[in-house]
Amino acid sequence: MPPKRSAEGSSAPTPTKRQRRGLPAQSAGLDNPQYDVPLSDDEPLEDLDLVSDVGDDASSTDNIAADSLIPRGAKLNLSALARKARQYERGARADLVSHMFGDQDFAYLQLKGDHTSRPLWIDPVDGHIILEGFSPIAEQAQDFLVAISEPVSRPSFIHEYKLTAYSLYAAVSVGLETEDIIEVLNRLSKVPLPENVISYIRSCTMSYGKVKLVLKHNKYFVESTHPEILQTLLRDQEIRSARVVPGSGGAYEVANGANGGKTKKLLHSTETGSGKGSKAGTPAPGSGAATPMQKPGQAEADLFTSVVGVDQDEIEEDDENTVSFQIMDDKIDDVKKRCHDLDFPVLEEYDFRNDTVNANLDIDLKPITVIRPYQEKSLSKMFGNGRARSGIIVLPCGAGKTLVGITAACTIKKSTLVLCTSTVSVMQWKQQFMQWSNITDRQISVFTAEQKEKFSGAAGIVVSTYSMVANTRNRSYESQKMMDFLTSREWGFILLDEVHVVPAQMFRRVVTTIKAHAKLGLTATLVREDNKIDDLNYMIGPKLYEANWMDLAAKGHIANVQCAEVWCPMTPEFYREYLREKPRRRMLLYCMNPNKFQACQFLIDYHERRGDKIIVFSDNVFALEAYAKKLSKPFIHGATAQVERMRVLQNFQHNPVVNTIFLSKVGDTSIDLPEATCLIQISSHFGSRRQEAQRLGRILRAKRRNDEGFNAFFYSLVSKDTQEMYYSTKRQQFLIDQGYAFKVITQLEGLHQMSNLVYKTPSEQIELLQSVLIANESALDFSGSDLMGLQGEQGQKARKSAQKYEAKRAVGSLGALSGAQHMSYIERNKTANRQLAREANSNRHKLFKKRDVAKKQANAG
Amino acid sequence: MSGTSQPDQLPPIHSFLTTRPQTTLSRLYARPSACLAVFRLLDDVARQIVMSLLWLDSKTGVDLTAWVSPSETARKHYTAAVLGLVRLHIAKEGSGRILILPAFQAGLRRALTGGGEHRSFGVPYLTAGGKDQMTTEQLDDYALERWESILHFMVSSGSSIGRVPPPSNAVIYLLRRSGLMASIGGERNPDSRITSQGFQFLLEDSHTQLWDLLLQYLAMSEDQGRDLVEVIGFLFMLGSMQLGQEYSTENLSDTQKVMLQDFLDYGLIYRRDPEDHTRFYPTRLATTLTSTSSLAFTSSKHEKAASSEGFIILETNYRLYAYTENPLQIAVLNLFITLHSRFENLVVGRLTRESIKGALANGITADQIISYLTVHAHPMMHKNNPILPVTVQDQIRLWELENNRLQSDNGYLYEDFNSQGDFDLVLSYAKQLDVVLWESREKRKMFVREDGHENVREFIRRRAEAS
Amino acid sequence: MKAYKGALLTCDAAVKQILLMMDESEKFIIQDLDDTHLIVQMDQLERVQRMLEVELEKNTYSLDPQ
Repeated sequence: MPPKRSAEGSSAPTPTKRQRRGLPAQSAGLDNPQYDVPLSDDEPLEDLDLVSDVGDDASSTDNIAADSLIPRGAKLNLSALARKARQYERGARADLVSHMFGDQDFAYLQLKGDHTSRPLWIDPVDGHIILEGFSPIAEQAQDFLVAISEPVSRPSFIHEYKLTAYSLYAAVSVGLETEDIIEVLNRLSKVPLPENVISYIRSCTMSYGKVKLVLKHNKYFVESTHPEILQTLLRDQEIRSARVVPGSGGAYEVANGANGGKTKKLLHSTETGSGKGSKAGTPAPGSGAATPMQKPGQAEADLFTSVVGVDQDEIEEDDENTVSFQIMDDKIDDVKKRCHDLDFPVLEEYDFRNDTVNANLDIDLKPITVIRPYQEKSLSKMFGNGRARSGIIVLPCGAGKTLVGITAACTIKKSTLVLCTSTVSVMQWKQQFMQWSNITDRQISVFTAEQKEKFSGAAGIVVSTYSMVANTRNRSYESQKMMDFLTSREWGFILLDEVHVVPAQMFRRVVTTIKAHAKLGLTATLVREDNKIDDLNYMIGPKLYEANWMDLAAKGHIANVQCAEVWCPMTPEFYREYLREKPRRRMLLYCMNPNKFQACQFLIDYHERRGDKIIVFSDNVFALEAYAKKLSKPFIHGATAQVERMRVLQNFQHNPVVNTIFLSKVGDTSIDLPEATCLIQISSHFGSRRQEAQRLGRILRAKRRNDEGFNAFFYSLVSKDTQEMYYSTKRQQFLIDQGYAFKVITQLEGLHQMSNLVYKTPSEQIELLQSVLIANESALDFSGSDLMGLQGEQGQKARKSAQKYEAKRAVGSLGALSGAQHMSYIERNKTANRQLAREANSNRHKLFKKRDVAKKQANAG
Repeated sequence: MSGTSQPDQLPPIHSFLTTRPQTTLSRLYARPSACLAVFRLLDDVARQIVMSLLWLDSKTGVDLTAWVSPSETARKHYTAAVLGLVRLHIAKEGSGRILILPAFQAGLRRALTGGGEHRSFGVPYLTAGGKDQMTTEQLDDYALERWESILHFMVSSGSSIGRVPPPSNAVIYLLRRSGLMASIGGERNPDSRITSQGFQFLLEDSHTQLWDLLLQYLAMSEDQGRDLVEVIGFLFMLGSMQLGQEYSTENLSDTQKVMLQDFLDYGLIYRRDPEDHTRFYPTRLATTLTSTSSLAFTSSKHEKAASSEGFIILETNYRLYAYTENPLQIAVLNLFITLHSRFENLVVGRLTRESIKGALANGITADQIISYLTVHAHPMMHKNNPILPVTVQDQIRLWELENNRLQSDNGYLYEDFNSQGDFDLVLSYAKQLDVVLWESREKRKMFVREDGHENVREFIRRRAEAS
Repeated sequence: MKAYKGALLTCDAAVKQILLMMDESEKFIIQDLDDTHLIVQMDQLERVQRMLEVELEKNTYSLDPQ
C-alpha cells in the first residue's frame, strides 16, 4: 500500500480516498494476487483493519453518516458557552500575561478557599479535567473520572481527562445520575464548576439512559420508564414503521416474511402518504391505513394509548413503571440510529436472572481462579444493577481481558458466542475457558474453517471468528448449517474480542445476524486512527471501563517496560537512493538500512546474552525474511504454513536455543507468547498509535514480570533523516500519554566491537542496496496484509494462492538476479526455519507416539 | 587542587574590588559603613581572621596557623581566606604572619564602636509622627513590582505582543551594556530582545541578579568618570540602612544624588513624594545588598514561591504544569513552552519542538532550559531521580543538535600543488598559523580560513621567488 | 598551485547527501571533498541553508496542538 501521508498533510484527506476501493478491483488478477485477496468480498480482517487504521484512506461508505450518530449533545459548543460566561467575569483580572493564553485564561475562576484539599481543575472551554495524581483522594477521583470522562493522559503526577458526550453517555448507562455527576465533580474541583460545564453535563445526560433496547422471548422491545419518551419516539416515522403491533398480525408477518423488502416499501409509501400530516394526525401504527386529518388533541391521545395503551395485549409491562413496544428484527439497526438522532440513544441491557426462556448454562469459575481488583471493578460496571449492560471494557494487553470475558459469561450463565480475530485466538479462547471455568469439552465448540462443531445440550459456548460469522458468500454446506445454528438461536451473551480492529461493516453484519441479549467488547486500545470509536459506541455500547496502564504496571499486573527509540543513521549510499526514490521504495530503503541491520543484530545479541526472549517485528515481509535469514533466526509471516508456524512458536517457547523469532504483522495481536521479554521493531505501519500499543502489549504479560527488578524492553529501530522518524514520533503518542517514556539512543555502545557484525564492508552494503533497488513491487508492501489473519474458506484459498505466488516470485527473482550474489547468499541462509523442521522430524516419533496413543484411547472411549 | 575557595568564590563585588588599586580601596575603607559592608560579605573563616586581628595593635602580625585544624580542607580554606583578605587589601601576609592593614582596621573599629561624624550609615529623616510611615510590606511590594517589571520586560520583549511597559532608558541601556539584552536590528533601534546571557541571568536569585546589574552600573559609572569610591561607598551605605526608616539626602554628594535617582528605577529606593528630593526610603533590595545570604530578599510571597519551593511539574509526555500566578514566571515559561491554558494558580503548557526551537533561536541553550526546569521543579518532582524525565531532557538536547548539522566557514581551497613536498611545506606553515580547516594529503588539498589566506599566499609567493 | 574562494561546509553524511541532491537542480557545489565536507559558492549559502532546513523539517512530527 502506498503511503498516503506526507509530513505536512498528515491528517488531510488524500485524493486517493475514493480510488482505493475501486483500484484494487481493477488490478485484481493473477498478476497480483496480493491485491486480489484483501479485496475479495470476504473482507479479511487484517487488511480492513489496516485500511481503517490509516484513517484517511478508510472508506467512508461504511460510515452510516457518522455525523448523525453523534447525539445532539455532542454538538453543543462548549467553548462558545464559555466565551459568553467569560465576558462577564473577565476584564479587571487580565494581567501582563493574559494575552499569552488567548481564550484559555481562566484565572477569573476563583479558587475555593480549601482548594488545596481538592484535586482537580476543569477547563471550561474544552472540557478537560486536570487531576493532581498525588492528591490523597486521587484514587477515588480517578475512579469517578474514568466513569464520566475519557482519559487523555495519565503519566506520573498530573492526569488529564476530557468530558465528552460519549463519556457522559457511558456514565449514565452505568447508573450515574446527572445531578450526582455535577455534585461530585463540583466537590472535587478547586474552582467552582463553570456554568457552561454544568449545562453541558445536563444536556448530554438528560436524554441518555432513558430508553432501553431489550430482547425478550426472542423479540426486540424498546423500553422505557418514561412513557412520554416512547411517545416522542413513536412520533418518528421510521421508528413507527419498524414497530410490530402484536394485534395486527399483518405487520408482524411482514416483519418476518420472506418478502419483507417489498412490503416495507409499501409501508413506507403509506407513511409518506400521510406526510407532514403525521405530526398532527397519525395513522394507527401498523394498521397500514393512513387516517385522515384528526384533531391534534385526539392524535396525541391515540399515540398515548398506542404506547401505554389500555389494551394489555399491545403493551409489554415488566413492572408498573415500564412501558415498551416491539420492533422488527431487521430494523434494530435503523431504530437505534433514529433513537440516536432523536437524542435518545438506546441502552442495551439484559435481565439475565429473570430470563426463563433461554436455558441456563451450567458454568462457573473454578475455585482456584482469582479475579484481580481491576477486573472485578470493570465487571462491576457491567453488572452494576443486576442486569448485564452492553459495552466495552478496555484493558491493556496482558492484563487479563480473557478472564474478564469468561467471568462475564459465568455471571450471565446463558449460551455464549465468542468472536475473535483469528483461528489461533479461537483456540486460545477455548483453552482459557477450559482452564478458568468448569465448562466441559462437550459444552464448548469452535466454528472455524477447519472445525465446525455444535455444542451438545440446550446451552453452550461457541467460539468463532468475525469473518466466519460475517461472511455472506460462498459458504460450504457445513458452514451454512453452522450459521443457521448460530442465527436461529437466541444468545445470552456475545463476547467481541479485539473490537478495535474489526471493520464497522463486519460488525454490523455480526450484530444484526446474531441475536444476543448482552454484548461485551474487549480491547486493549480504543485508539482508532479513523475515529471509528463512534461506531463501536453505537453498535456495542459505551465504554464501561478503561484501566490505567502505569497503575497496573506499578501493581505488578503487567510488566514494566523500558522503551527506546534507536536512531540508525542511513549509510550515505542508502540515503542517496532514498532521496531519489519513490515513496514506496523509500520505505524499503529505510528498513534495509545496513546500520539498522547492525543495530538489530547487536540488540538481539545483547539481549540473548541477558537471557531474554526476543520478538522482532517487521511489517514488511521482504525485510523480515532478509533480516531473519541473514541473522539465522526463524520467522513467521502470512505465507508460513500452519505447521511451520506452530513449530517455530513452540521452539520459541520451549527450546532454550531458540531465543529470537521474527514476526510480521500477524504477531501484533492474537499470538500469546508470555515468554517474550524483549521486542525489537524494524518496520512498522506508518503512524499507527494502536499498532505501537499492541506491540508493546506483546511483552506486558511477560511471565517473568514479577521477578525482582524485572524490565521488559521495547525497541523501535528508526532510520535517521527519513520519514520513519516522523512516523515513529507519531506512533508513540498513545503510549506516551499512558505514561511510557521513549529514550532516544543515538549510539549503541559496543556495536562496532562486535566481531561478526553483518554488512560491515562497503561492498556488502552495496550488494544489499542493489537487492533493495531491484526487489520487485511486491517487496514494497508495508500493509502487513500478509494473509495470516485470513480465516475461513476464503482464507484458505488465499493462502494457497499466495503460496503459489511466493514460489513463483522466488523463481522470478532468481532469474532476474542471476549473478546477484546476495540472493544466493540469502537462500543459503534460509536455514533457521528448516533447521527447526529437521529437528522436529527427527524427534517426531518420540514426541508424537505418546500423544497418538492417548488420542486413540480417547477416541475409543 | 580543589578550587573550592579560589578568589572567584568571592562575592562579585569583592572580586570587583580586588581589581582596584590599593589607593582606591584605602579611600573606600575610610568609610566605616564600607568596612562593615566588606566585612559582612566575607566568608566565615575570613571574618574570624579579621575579628581576631581587629583589636590587636601588633606591628608584626600574628601567626594564626596554630588555630587551624590540621585537616587538608581546613588548611585550604584558611589559605584561601587569607589570600582573599590580601587581595582586598584588608590584610597582608609575610612568612606565615598576618597583619591587618591600618586603613581597614580603623574603619571597621569605628563602624563597630560607633561615633564620629562620618555619617557613612546615612542620616535618618526625622519626622513628627509614625502614622504616615511606610510599612515594610508596602516597601516590599513596591520593590518587587519595580524589580520584576525589569525582568518582565527582558522576558517579554522581542515578542510582538509584549505588553510590558518598558523601564527607563537608563535601565535599558544598562541591560544592553551588560549583554543581557541585544537590540533588534541596529544599535539605535529601541527594541531589544533577551540574550542567552540574559536568560542565564533570569536563572539566578534576585540577590545575585541585583549585584550583576550593580557591577555593570559600577563599570558604567567609572566610564563616566564618577568617583568609584563615592559610588561603592553609597552602595555600602544603602546596605547598612534600616528597612522601614526614612533617610535624609542632606549629606549626600552630587554623585550619590544622581545614583539615588537611578536606583529609583530598580526599586532600591522609594520616594513617598516623587517631587520631594530631600528624603527617601531604602527598600529591602537595598538593605540586603551586603547580607551574605542569597535568600535575603525573600519576604514577598512571590519570591518565596519561586525560589524556596519549586512550582513546575514536567511529565514524560512533555506536558508542563506550573503552580504559579506570577506573571514573571509565566512570561519566563513562555520563552520555551507552548502555553495552553491558565487557572488562578496553575499554568498548563507543553514543551514542544516548536517552543524549544523558538527559544534556541533566541540564543537560549538547552542546558539553560533544563537547568531552569530543574531549579524550579515542584517538590513532587524531587521523588524522581533525576528530577526531570531523562527522555525529555535528551529530547531538548537533540533538538538543539538539529541546529548544528551544518557548519560553514569562508576561506580558500588550495589545490594542484606541484609536489607532495610543496604541499607538505605549505600545509605545515598554514598549520603553524592555525588557519587550516580541512586537509587531505592524498588529494593534496587544503582549506584555509579567510583570515589566513593573505599569509599563506605570501608564503607561497616568496617560496616561488626563492626557488 | 591554485586557490579558490568558497565556503567550506562541514556536515554529517546525511546532510551531505541532501546537499548533493539539491545541487542537481541548481548548482552550488564547487568541490566534493569527502563524506562530510563540501566547498560551495559563498553567495548560495543562505539559500542552501534555508532549503536544507525545509528538507529536514519534513521528517519531524509535531504534536497535535490542543
